Order: sequence, then structure tokens, then C-alpha cells
Amino acid sequence: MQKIITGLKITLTSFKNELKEIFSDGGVLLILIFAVIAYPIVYSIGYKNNVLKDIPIGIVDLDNTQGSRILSRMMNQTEQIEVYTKSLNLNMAEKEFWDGNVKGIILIPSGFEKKVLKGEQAIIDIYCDASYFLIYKETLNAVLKASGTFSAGVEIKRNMAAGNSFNQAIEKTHPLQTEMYNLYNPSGAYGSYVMPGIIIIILQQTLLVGIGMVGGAGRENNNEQFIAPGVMLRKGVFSVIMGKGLAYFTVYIVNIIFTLVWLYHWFDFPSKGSLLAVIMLVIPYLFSVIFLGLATSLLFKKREYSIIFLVFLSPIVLFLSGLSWPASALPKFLYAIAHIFPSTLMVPSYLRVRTMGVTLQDVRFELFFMIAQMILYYLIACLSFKYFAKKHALKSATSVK
Amino acid sequence: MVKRIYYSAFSNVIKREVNRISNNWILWFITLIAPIIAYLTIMWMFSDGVIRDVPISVVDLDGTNFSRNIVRQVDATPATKIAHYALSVEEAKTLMDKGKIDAIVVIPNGAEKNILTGSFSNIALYINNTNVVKGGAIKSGLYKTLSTLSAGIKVQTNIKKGLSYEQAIERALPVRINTHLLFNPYTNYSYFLTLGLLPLMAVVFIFLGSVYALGQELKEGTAGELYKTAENSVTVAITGKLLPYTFLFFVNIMVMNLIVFKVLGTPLKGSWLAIILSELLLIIAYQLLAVLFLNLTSNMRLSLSLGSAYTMMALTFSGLTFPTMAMPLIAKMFSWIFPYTFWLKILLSQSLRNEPLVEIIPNLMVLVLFIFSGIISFKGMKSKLSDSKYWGKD
Repeated sequence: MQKIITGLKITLTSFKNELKEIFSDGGVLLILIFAVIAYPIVYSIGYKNNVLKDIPIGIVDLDNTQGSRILSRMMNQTEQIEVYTKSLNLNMAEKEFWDGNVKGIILIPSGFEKKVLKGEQAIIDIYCDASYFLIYKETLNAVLKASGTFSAGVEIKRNMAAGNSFNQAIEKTHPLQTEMYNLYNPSGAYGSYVMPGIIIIILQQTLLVGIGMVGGAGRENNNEQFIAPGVMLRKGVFSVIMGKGLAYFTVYIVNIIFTLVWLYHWFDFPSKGSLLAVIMLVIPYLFSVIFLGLATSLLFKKREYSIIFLVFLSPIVLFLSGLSWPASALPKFLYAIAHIFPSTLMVPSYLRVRTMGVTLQDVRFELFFMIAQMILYYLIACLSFKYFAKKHALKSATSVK
Repeated sequence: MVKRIYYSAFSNVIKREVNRISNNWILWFITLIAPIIAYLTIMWMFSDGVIRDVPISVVDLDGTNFSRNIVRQVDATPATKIAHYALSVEEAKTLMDKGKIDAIVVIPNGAEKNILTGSFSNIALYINNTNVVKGGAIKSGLYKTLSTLSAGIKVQTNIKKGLSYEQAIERALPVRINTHLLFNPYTNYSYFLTLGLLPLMAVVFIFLGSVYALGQELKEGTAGELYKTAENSVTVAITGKLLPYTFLFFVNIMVMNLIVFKVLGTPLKGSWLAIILSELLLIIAYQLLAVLFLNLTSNMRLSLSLGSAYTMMALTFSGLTFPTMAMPLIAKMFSWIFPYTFWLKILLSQSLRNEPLVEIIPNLMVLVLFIFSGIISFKGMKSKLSDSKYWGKD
């Protein structure tokens, strides 16, 4: 009993000391609070419009018949593209392209309608700018959709002319129909897809850099007593690390409310999951990141080192979480190493719980993994702090002599 | 003459810097080692090139020869791999919730019978679109497979009606799209990501490295010594200080070029000289922006913090992932504060698009403008280098 009370006292002191250190250091606050607020806002504004709409396209209609005009109209009616100009020849369209007014050119050859009516295959040429991925993809999708609709219309008419009823004609046109259901992000919105994962990564990276900065500052100012107080030499290390960890956790409760509640509300990010399930994931995630941060913070001899050594990892860690590029397409070995970072499993499980609304039962592997990570990193942090305290005690002992 | 240059203040500053670099492994790390590790990791990460074998589930409620053929074709789709045969949609849905599969293909009962009687059958495709890139790859892959199957059925019906094979195919597809990809033979996403990420890494290290190199003088209080070596000329001090790094970063960028053009095979259709010139301007622009940040904050660590945000954000706002044209006006304007945005246009213009050189002049001028904004801050740096009240902060 007495032991527990002493332990709690040590935890409380260490908690207070760490909070004091955090709030007296402008540089640390900039990372742990300002960056966590500013980054997601700026990114969310960038992705606010979500879907790519009305890509300007030039149409060269060499056929100029009713059929070709219907096709042009169908293209214009797709959400993605907007017919910017109709030119009579390819050279004119090409000029518009080089001037940057149109992103692609669609060429309907002369004799288009005639071929269609005769039951032959008509070919449309599409030239699109492939130097920007999304522009190329959306243009192509829109053209495929419009020409598909057009083709189906032609076939239905043909089948009806052959004596079929309208319904029969439709069935004959598509013997195998595909009905597609986009689950969870039906509009394919870019911001709703990418922002939740980015927020999770930002929480991790700011914590790692911020904690590293506090550790580095302590070592730089020769404040070993702060980093590893004397009580660590005895059993106090577990309590001290717990106190330090709770200090960062307290700061991040505010950040969590900001990023995972307010920001979601402002930018209308998808949120299907129960709040309880989200909290159950966030707690082990934050603690494993904090303990990982504490364990690595001893590596930084100077306060700026954590920025130099950790910042460039952010985009790499982001991609290794499978957010943008599917995990199944990542090299196996690299993906395995990436499990050092709690984000690697947090991003996919968080997306499932928050965006798809699955239960905790469905993410139990990830949850257990993160809890194991939390315990492991806690022990590693305790051991490395203890080692550091011993070394420091030895050093001060010899220097006294 | 040669002697005079060698013993000039400028060369003294350079000699001092070379000496400092050779004794500090952190500087090696930030200028060469870390960027190259980052380049290789990114290359490795995307080495697969295309999205392949995304796990999906099939629910075959028909269980006939026809439906089994569909399953075979679906399995042969390169983008997807059947990881699980489920007995019901509910069963497959639980697997999706667990994150084991990302799409469900449902073949309805009576599919074969419907086709044989000249009717149609409906295949349902449920796609997890949480990740739009992955969802898009599954969608286009499976859509292609299923529409080919559908067209195949039509072709067979047409042949039965007595049409020749060619006629039957033309009938089945009244309008065909002939796609011409301009500028870029690669349409996989990973390629675009690599092309954007490698230079972004370079830029992050150029900026942070320059802030660190110059900021250290303020933090450690050695700025006065630098100023004295430069014979009290702030211009000599800063240019002499940064020039060795310009060289190191140039080597670093050349390694990047090697990866981009030789290993990844990015087409280099325009002027390589223009690309190298633009890269040199990019290096100098970010080096001098580092001076600007230091001048404004007179604090190395603050500059590093702000600078990492400043450099990192450039990728999002360069339009390479999500196009700038679809962003709100404020975000569009925000994209103009990054030299990276303008430089990327030059790179695309001269590597993929082969535009006339005139087209890149405005963008080159903007890079020069960024350099000037750094030069203006030289005046303010004078007091920071010479006055000890600015030193020792961090």
C-alpha cells in the first residue's frame, strides 16, 4: 500500500514537471499544439472541393451530324468534363491545348454517324494530358461513360428495329449487367479519403518530434536531473515514465477533440463509427506513440535533432500505412519494418471504425497489436531511462571525485 | 591573381566551411546520406508499380458452368485476387469489415439460365471506396473483365445469327475509344507519386540543411568568427558559407536525376540543360529562403519547425496528387508561396511535355524572384551575425 502511494506521488510529480517543461518551451508548443491545429486545417482547405469537376475539354467534330452532336452533348453532361471549345479542326484545338485552356481533345471523325447507322464500329480519338494523373483518369472515365451511354442507345435502337420490345432490347444490349455499389465513400471524395489518415499521421509525427525536442533540450542544458530524476535508480522509473506519458496524453486530449471532433464537423469528414470505439482505438495509439517517443527521445543530444531526423520520415510513414498506396502492393519486408510505427496499423483500423463504422470486434487484431506495442514501448522507455540515469549517476560520481 | 582569390575573404569562408563539414557527421547526414536513404526507400516502396492482387471475395449463388467461368475471369483480373469464396453476401461483408477483402462480386442465382434464354443477368459489385485509389483500381479492373465477358456473349449471339467474327465484334461495340496518352507513357499512380516525392525530399533537406548550417553559427555563437573571416562582409559570409552546400545539394540532386531518368525511365524529351539550370535555381532559392526564415525568426529551431511545415506542404499544393485547378481560390494562391510548385512545372514541361523553352521562362523568373527575396534579407542578417545579443538562442 505504502509503495503504491509513493509510486503515485512520483507519477504526479513527474507529470507536473513534464507539463511545466512543455508549456515553458515555445518551440515544443509550436510542434505539439500549433502544428497539430494548423497542418490539418491547411490540408483540409486544399482538399476541400473533394472531387475533380468540369475539366475543360476541346471537341473537334469533323462529322458534324446529329449523332456526333448528341455524343458531344453526352460528354458535356458528365460531371467530370466540360466542353470548353468546339473547333472545326485539330490545329485550332491543339493551340488551345498548348495555351492551357483545354486539358484534352476529343476527335470525332467524319463519317462517324454513317458508320454507326450502318452497324459498323466507329472510332473516336481522345488525346489527354497524362502528366497529371487525376486529370487524365477522370477525363478518360467521363469519355468512356459518355460513349458507353451512346453505344447502348445505338444498340437498343438497333435491337428494337429488329423487332424486339424496348425491355428485350435493353436486355440484349447488356446480357451481363454490372451494378456497382461504392461503399463508404460513394462520391469518391478526395478529402474524405485522405484527410482522416493524414490527421492520424500528424498526431504521431508531432508527438515524436515534440517529445524528442523536450528530451534533446534536457540533454543540451545538462538537465539530466529533469530527464532522469534520481528516483529512477530505485524502482521509481515506472512511475516517472507513467507521469511523463500522462503529461503528453493530457495535451493530446485537447488535440484529439480538435482534430477528430471539430475538424470533422467543419469539413464534413465521414464519421459512421461509435465514439466509444474511436476512443478505444485512440487511447492505445496515443500511448504507444508517446512511449515510443520517450524511448527514442534519449537518442537526441540537441533539441533540433528530432526535427532533422524525424521530419523527413513523415511522408514515408504515411505511404507505409497503406493510405494512398495499398499495403498489399508494398514490399513485404518494408511493410513489416513499418510496424515499428503505431500508425501503420492505426490508420487502416481507424478508417474502418470511423469511416466504415465497423465494430471493435472487427479491428481486434489491430487493437491487440497496438496494446502490445504500448506495453512494449513502455518497458523499453523505462529500461532506456534507467540505463541513462545509471550512466548519469556514474558520470556525476566520477566528476565529484 | 589565383593567389589573390585563394587568400581572399571569400575563399577563407569556404575553407572554414569545408573544414566544419568534414568534422560534423550531422551535416553529411542531412545533405547526402538521409536524402539518398529517403530516395531509395521511396523507390523500394513503389517498386511494384501497379496495384495488383487486391484481395476480394466472390459469392457464386448460381454454381453453374457459366458462373464458374465468370469466377475464373474475375480471378484472372490482374488488379484483384479472389482471397475468399463466400456463401452469402453477409459472410463476405464481415470479411470486408475485418479489412480482409476490399470488394465483393455477387453472381445471382439463375445467371446461366437467363443468358441461355436470351435474357440478362445482373452482377453486383460492392467496392470498399474508403481508399479511392485502391477502389478505382478494383473498379476499372473488374469492370473491364465483366464488360469483356458481356461483349463476348453478344459476339457469340451475333455469330449464331450468321455474322462473321469481325462483324460480330463491331456490332457488339458500336463506338470504340482510341486513347492517346500525351507526354507520359506511364499511367500508374505510383509513378506520379515517386516523381513528386523524390524532389520533395530533396527540397526538405535543402531547406533544413541550410537552416541548420547557418543557424548553428547563431546558436553556438560562432557567427562572429564567421563574420570576421568574411572581413565584415555579410554577403561574403553568407554566400561563402552556403556555397559548399550548394555543391553537396547539387550532387544530391544529380543522384535524384539518375534515379528519376535512368532507373524509373522518366522520358526526357526536352532540354536537360534547362532542367539542370532549374534545379540549380531551386537549390539556391530554398537555401536563400532558409536565410530569410533565419532573419525573420533569428532562431534556428523555430526556423526548422516552420521550415519543415513550409517545405512538406509543397507536395499537396503542387497539384501532382490532387490538381490545383480543383482547389478553392485561397488554396490556389497558397500554392504560389512554394518554389517547388513553379519548379515542378519546369520539370514536367521539359521532361515529359517537351514544350518550347519560351514556356518555362516565367517559371524560371519566379525562382529568381524567390532568390531575390532571400538576398534582401542579407541586410538584416548583418546585425544577427555581428551582434552577440542574437547568439545562443535556440
